[in-house]
Amino acid sequence: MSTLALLDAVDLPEAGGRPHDGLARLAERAGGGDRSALGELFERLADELYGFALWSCGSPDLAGEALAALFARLVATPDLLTRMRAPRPYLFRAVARDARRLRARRDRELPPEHAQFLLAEGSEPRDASIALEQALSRLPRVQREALYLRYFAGLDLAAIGRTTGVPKFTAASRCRLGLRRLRRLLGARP
Amino acid sequence: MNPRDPLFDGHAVPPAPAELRRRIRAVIASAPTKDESDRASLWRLLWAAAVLLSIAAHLALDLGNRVGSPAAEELPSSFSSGGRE
Repeated sequence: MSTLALLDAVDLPEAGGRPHDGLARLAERAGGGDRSALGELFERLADELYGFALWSCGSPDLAGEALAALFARLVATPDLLTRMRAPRPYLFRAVARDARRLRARRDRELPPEHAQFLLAEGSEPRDASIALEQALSRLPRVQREALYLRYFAGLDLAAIGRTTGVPKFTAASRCRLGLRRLRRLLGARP
Repeated sequence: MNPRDPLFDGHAVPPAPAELRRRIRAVIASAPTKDESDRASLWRLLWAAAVLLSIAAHLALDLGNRVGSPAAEELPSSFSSGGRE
């Protein structure tokens, strides 16, 4: 059995922090010009990437624009996908970078809008969501991003570190400090 | 999956809007396949080669006309000095 086949067989965790779910192979096929593979990659990651872009820039419009720009780039130059070893962290970084750039450009032109990071589930009163969103918008961006990756994208600390380009301990302290600050801003008990 | 912090209970991150999904799906669907892309590259290459050949042919003809032209050989020496002699 070849090394690659062995790696697939033991179902190693991907660098994105999730069990190997075939994303790397999907990206490789998409990089070879397989449209259906690119489509599947999009369907599987769209919500996560959109969410991360949203938490990065605080604007649904810009998060959408960043996601569209990322996939337009992948359509134009699919080779990018064959060069990446771990597609998930790469795509997270790319979409957040685009979202921040768009946000910076818009902030030069327009006053900042109300950030919308969350959606209330079920019968949750809207006020609580607004309070939480306002508290989230007052967090440093890197802490907010770390909280998203940990509590909504489900990445472990090592994967958060790889995605955001910092050591695992820095990722851990961003999560810890972010939560602590969030609780303080909301007047919640630590 | 990591345990959710109670702070986030009852909240979710909005999913990518349906309209955005449709737009991106359309972009992906319009992407050229590998074969189409290779064919397009080949055509571009052939087109560029044809343009270069055409330019080279024009230059060669032009040069041939200048070198072989009796008029060029019979020009008076004063022609090169702007006719001031």
